Amino acid sequence: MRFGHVGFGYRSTTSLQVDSTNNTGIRLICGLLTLELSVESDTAEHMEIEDLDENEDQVYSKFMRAHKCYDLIPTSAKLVIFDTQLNVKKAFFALVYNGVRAAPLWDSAKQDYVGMLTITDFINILKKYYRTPNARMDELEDHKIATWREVLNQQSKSFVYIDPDASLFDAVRALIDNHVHRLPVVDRTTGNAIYILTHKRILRFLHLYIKDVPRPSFMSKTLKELKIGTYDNVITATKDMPLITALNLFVENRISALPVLDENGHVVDIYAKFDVINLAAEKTYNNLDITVNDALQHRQNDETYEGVATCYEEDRVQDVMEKIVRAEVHRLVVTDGDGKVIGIVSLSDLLDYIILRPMLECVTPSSTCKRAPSATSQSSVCSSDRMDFACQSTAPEKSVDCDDAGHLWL
Amino acid sequence: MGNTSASKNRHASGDDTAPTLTATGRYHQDSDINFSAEQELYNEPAYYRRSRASTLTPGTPVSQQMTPRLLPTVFKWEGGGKDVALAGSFNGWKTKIPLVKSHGDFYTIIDLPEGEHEYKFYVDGQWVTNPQEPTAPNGIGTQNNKVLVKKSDFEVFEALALDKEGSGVGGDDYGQEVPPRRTEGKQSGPPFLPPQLLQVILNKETSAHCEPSLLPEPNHVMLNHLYALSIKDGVMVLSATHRFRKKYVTTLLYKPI
Repeated sequence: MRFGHVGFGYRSTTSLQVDSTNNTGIRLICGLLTLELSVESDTAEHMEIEDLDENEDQVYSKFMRAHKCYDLIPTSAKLVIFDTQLNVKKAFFALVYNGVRAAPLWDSAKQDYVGMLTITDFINILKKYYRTPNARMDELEDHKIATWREVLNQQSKSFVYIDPDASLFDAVRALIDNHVHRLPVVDRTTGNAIYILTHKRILRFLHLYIKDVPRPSFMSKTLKELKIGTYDNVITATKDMPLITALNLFVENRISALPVLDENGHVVDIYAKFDVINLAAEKTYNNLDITVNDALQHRQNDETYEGVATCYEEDRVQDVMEKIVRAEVHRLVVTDGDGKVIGIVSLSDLLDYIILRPMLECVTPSSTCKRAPSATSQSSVCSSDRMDFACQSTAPEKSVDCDDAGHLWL
Repeated sequence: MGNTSASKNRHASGDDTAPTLTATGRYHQDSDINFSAEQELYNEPAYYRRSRASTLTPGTPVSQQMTPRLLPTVFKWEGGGKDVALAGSFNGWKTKIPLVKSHGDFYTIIDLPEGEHEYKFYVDGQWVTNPQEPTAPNGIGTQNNKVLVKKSDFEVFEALALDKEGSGVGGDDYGQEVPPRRTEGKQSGPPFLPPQLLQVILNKETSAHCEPSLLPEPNHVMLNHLYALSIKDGVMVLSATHRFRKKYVTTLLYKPI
C-alpha cells in the first residue's frame, strides 16, 4: 500500500480516473489549496508576570488562555477524513491502518463536516449488533457511516469543533463540557479540518512549559486533599469477564477504561476503549464471548507496554501529572498500599481541576458562574460570536481578569 | 561551468554575440579579416568547438561577418560507455574531441565547413563507428562514419518543410478530427513526473515510538499535489499536503467509488 502522485498531465505509475460526477473529494482537497497567510503572533508574550501574581491559583488557566490551539498543532501531521458514504467496517480498518483513533466525517452532499468517527462508535456498533459468537454482524459489514449515524440519531450530538485561534482554555472547556475526547480544529476561513486535539496533547503542552510558570500551591497538595478523581462506584472488570460485558460497561457507564482485577481484587491490568480497536486490527470482532484476559493478549507482544499506570491517593498533584504525562495514558488507577483499586484519576479530572476550576471559582459570587450545561457551552463554542471573540484575543490582552471570565460564561 | 563563464564574458563585453563565432575570434585578435585569413583557417585549425565558447576572453572583439561557411554540426553517440570522444578528417585525426554526456547519451557540436567529413568515435579506448550513420572504408581495413554537411540543411524553413514531409502527419488542412496519437517515439505521452514528486511523506517509515499521526516535514515542492492510493476494495484514498501558517497538514480522504 503505497501512495502515488496523481499526475494530471504527468506520466505516472498510478493511473487514476476521476469520475466528474463523483469528485467531491477532489473539490474538498482543492478547497484546501487556498491558504491564507496570517500574521504569526508570539503568544507566549501575552502573558505578563503581573497577571500571574494576581492569583497564583489561576496560573495554568491563564497560561492556557494565552496560547492558541494553533500552538499545539505539530509541524507536520496527517489527518484522516472519511466520507459518510464509506462502509463503516472499512472506516475502522482505515483507523487501524493509519494508527489514528478518530476521524472527522465529511458529508459530500452537505459539503461539510458532520461529526467524528471514533472507537466509541465501533464499541456501540459491536454492542448493538452482537448476537452470538461467530455470527456475521450484517450491520457492521454492510452499514455505511451515514446509515450508522441515522441509527445513532437520537443520541448524536452536533459536530463540536474549535477554531485554531481559539485559546487552549476554550479547548479544554469544549473537551470537558461536551464529554468528548477528540476535538477537531477547523479553520474558519477555509472550513478545513487541521488537527484533532486531545486532553493528552494539551496536558503535555502544559507540562512542557510548566517550569517556566510559577507553581500554584495546589500542585503540592494530594489527590485526597483536593478530591481529584473518581472514588465512588469505580467500575472494574475481572480477567474472566466476557468481552461483550466489558463493552456494555463502557457504553452504559460512559467510561473509557476498566481496571482488570484478579481474584483478590488487586489491579493486574486495564482494559480501555482503545484496546477494542485491536479487535478490528485482528479481525476477531465476531467473537465477543472471549474473556477480557484473552482480549488483552495482544499486549504481551508489545514490548513498550509497561503495565498498569497507578498512583496513590496520597500522591501530590504535581507527581500525578508527571506520571500521567510520562506514561502517556489517559488515566491512572488510584490504588491503596495493598494494590486494591480505590479510584481513577483521568486527564479530564486533572485538566478540569487545574485549568477550569480556578476560573470558575473566581466568579463564584455570581449565580451565572455555575458550570454551563453542555448544550449551552457547545453552542458557545460553535457560534460565530464566540469565534469572533477568540480572534480578537490575538491582539495583546490587557489583563485576564474576572470580568473577562464572567463574560465568557454568559 | 563552461556556460556560466561564457555568459559572464558576454555580459562583460557587453555584446550578445552568438557563441558560435567566439572560437574563431580567438584566432583573429584584430577584427581586420580578409579572405586569405579565412582560407588559412581551413588549412590550419579546420574545426572549432562550439560548446567550449568559454575560451573567449573578456573584451575580445568578435566579428559577425566571418566564417559564413562554417556550420554547427551535432555529433551524437547513443551506444553508451564512460568516456566518449571523436576524431575526424576535419581535425586531421590529431586530437580527440570529448563528447559531453547528457541524459545517458553523448553529444558535441563542431563547426564544420560544407562538404563530406569522415569521423570515428573513441569509446572507452576503442575506435568504433556508429552503425546507424553512413560509413565509408577508411583505407586501413576498417570503417569510418561520414557526414555530409550541406548549407541547405541550415535553411530553417526548408529544414522544417523537410521534417514535415518526413514525419508523414498533418497535411495542409486544419480540421476537427483529432489525429491519432502516436504511441511510440519520444514525443508521445505527457512529460515524465518530476522526481521530487515521487518523495511521498506518507510512504516514509516513521519510528514506532512516535505518535503515528506525525509525519516528516514535507518539502515545499510536495505541497498542494494530489496523491492517491491505488483503488482497493472499492475505496479510493486521496491525499494532499497543505500548509496552514507554519504547520503542514496531510489530509487523507477515504471515499467509496
